[in-house]
Amino acid sequence: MTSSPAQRVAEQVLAARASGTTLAIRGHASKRALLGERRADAVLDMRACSGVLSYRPDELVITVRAGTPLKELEAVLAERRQHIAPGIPLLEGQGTVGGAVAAGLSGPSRPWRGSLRDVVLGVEMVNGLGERLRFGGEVFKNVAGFDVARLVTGSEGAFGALLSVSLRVAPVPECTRCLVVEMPATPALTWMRRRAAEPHPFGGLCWLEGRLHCRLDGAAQAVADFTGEPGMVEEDPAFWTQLRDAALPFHAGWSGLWRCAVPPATPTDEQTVCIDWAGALRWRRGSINTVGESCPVGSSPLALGACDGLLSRLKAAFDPDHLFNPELMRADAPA
Amino acid sequence: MSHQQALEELQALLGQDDLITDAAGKRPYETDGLAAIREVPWVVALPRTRDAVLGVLAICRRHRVPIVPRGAGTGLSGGARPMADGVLLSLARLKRILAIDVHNGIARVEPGVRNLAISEAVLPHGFFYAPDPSSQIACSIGGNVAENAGGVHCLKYGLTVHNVCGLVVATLDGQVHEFGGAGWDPLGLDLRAVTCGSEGLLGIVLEVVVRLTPLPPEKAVVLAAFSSLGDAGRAVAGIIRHGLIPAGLEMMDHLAIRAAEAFVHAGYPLDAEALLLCELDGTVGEVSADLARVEAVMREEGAFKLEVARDPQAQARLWLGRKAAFPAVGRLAPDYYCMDGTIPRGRLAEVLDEIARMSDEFGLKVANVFHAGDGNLHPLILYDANNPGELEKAERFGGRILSHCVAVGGAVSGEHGVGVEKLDQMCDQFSAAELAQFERLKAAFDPDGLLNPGKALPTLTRCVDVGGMHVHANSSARFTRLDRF
Ligand SMILES: Cc1cc2nc3c(=O)[nH]c(=O)nc-3n(C[C@H](O)[C@H](O)[C@H](O)COP(=O)(O)OP(=O)(O)OC[C@H]3O[C@@H](n4cnc5c(N)ncnc54)[C@H](O)[C@@H]3O)c2cc1C
Repeated sequence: MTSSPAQRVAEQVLAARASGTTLAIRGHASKRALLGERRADAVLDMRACSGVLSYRPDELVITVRAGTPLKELEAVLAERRQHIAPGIPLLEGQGTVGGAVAAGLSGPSRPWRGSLRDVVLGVEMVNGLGERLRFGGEVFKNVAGFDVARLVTGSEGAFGALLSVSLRVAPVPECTRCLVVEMPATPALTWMRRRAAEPHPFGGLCWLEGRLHCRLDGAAQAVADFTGEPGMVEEDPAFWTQLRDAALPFHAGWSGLWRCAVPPATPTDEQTVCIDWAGALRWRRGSINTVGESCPVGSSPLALGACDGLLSRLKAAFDPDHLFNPELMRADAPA
Repeated sequence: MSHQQALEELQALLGQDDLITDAAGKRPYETDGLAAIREVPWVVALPRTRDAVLGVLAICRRHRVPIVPRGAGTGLSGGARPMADGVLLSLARLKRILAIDVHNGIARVEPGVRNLAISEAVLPHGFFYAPDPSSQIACSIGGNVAENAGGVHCLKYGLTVHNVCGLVVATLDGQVHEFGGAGWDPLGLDLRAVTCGSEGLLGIVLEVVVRLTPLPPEKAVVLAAFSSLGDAGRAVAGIIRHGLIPAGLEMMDHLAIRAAEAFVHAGYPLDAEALLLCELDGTVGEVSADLARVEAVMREEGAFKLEVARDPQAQARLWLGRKAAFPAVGRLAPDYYCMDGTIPRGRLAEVLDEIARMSDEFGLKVANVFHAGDGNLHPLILYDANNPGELEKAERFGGRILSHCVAVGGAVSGEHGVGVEKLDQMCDQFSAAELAQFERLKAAFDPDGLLNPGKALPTLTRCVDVGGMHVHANSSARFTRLDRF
């Protein structure tokens, strides 16, 4: 009997555990530039663990193996005019589904369409004991057991290697309209906050380099009902894909920038390069220490500082030997 | 455990007004919404401040006294069932709305604030708090977080987990943690989701930052009557297939329709085998466009009667029967038992057939009222606890329905939680290794195992026994008594 790709991953983990070999879990390594490169004794390559396991458009759910390329996921869904509503960044133009869920990054429509974590319905994973475990499932409402599927979303593999993921999918909106207008950062932020408090079918609100970008996604009528700002003109939707995928010119030199999660109405300042998520996500030259959280481009938030108390016990609950991505959630402060 | 010492310290901390020790005073707390499971708590603590809550936790930890958190006590799975040797820690007196922050689109509230009170408070600002459990007049936001409560509108707007952006949680070691905050998502680990639905096993929720949703300018409600459950099920699938996500999509079967109609006279068609209620919201133009599509799908799938309500009064009338469905069904029999499983939408008609077949097998009637858009079933099993053996039969029937939900790819609880009620069915849904992982996760938060012990997670021994129970069809050690809430 030949073992399945998932079984082979579980066997590799068991072997690594027996020999005390640490593992860097790797898909396309597309998030290196943003989250840093994971180093360990050996690489656990997830790319062979690939393919759609089930897709039921009427149930709004798809289950794929973790190594499935995001592009393949997009293509399969597009055939049925469906997509992953928050949008998944394709950094360096690629990425695997498991890597996306492990990184937990959402696209520009996050404030209105939910986060990637929100659409994760279930996972199968291998923990640090080499056990294959399933959490959640393929249904939207499920409160049986702790929500481990969403706990591991954004944990960058620190709790285990994902084998497969079930995601809630959504219909592609009937109509998309993208508008842009020249505006300085402060009035742009005020405008975003005022409009975000109103019921409009937004799919993105972003300020970059003196321009306010506004995206609408929804029923044709709802999109048509929106009145923008005087001077707003139509723009190519490509802007939003490039923003999602970190492929705009400013991303090319982003290694000096910080990614900041803040309360959306936080005042902007000279250091701010880009305001996304209607204010809640900022790209800055330098960190914001007073409000919100920040992390320099090129590092993982899970590698900053020592991990103790609750977090270190959580790590030990899943991966007691620190087998996976050992630079993350370390007990001792990193150099 | 040194209860005497703990008692003295609790008295010193809380004083007479905030600590109930007498039998009569404790009586109202002996049960939650699963009313037949009762236990008188050792004492009831009713702290008014965060510091007092932390004080209670410290005393309990020092003397190793277990703690059962409680919000409003409307839970339907016995999650807040007291312990005879434990403190029942009520969070109901922490009920201040701390801030309504329109600029950031959030409200910061204490755990004892009632769900509906949030929507009422933010209404003048043009917002609402989207998750709306039917119990929303009474249930607390802390209890909603602990159960990951849903409601009629969660198909479009999500469950509690999707609408909470920050949590302040105390663990038993005295640490107060902030998970998330006023922004959308934290960078790095996100412990909000694992707290949602944790049934009071991981920590005490001290504060909740909820995301507010702008009120939609327009709404419409469609009622569609069908002559078979299969047709109604296909209409649900059809609506989704056409790319529509209604604000709510609810189904009722014949027995539930008749009961509701007799109770509140909502004008439901009595000759229908199944009825769908579909709510649409958005801009005026959007609702009109969606309405036309929904009506077309309903007709295509064989709806023999359609009624559209565009003004609030007519909408309230159509919703009335659905909202009163539980008490209405309650009038049909001395007792009923409300189940809460989820299934893939596509299996709806088939699962309902199977429930009908089991209903014949057990000789107990069942009415079905459910969140069809989410595939979340609420079969209401009718029985009479005065007939010897009938309660046990209702429990067995309920257990079989949940096992069937798992078998078709669903879950044993959509929104009511596991509590003490569905411990056996957890053994159907999870393997021994998965349950052990849950235990280790619990221990990371609560190493002493003092928070709500015995709830939500079955012991492995229990699962082995349950396996045996299926074989021997012996139901002895299960739920004690159940009646309607
Ligand atoms: C008529 C009726 C209709 C209902 N309809 C719905 C519905 O539509 N959707 C739905 O989801 N539910 C529904 N419910 C179930 C119930 O109302 C919800 O589960 C609700 O979220 C419970 O809130 P509560 O404040 O009453 O919590 P409680 O019942 O007091 O407690 C529930 C659980 O939460 C824990 N807990 C409470 N507060 C805290 C805290 N601050 N920190 C940590 N743990 C805590 C308790 O230990 C317990 O495990 C209904 C119940 C009734 C009676």
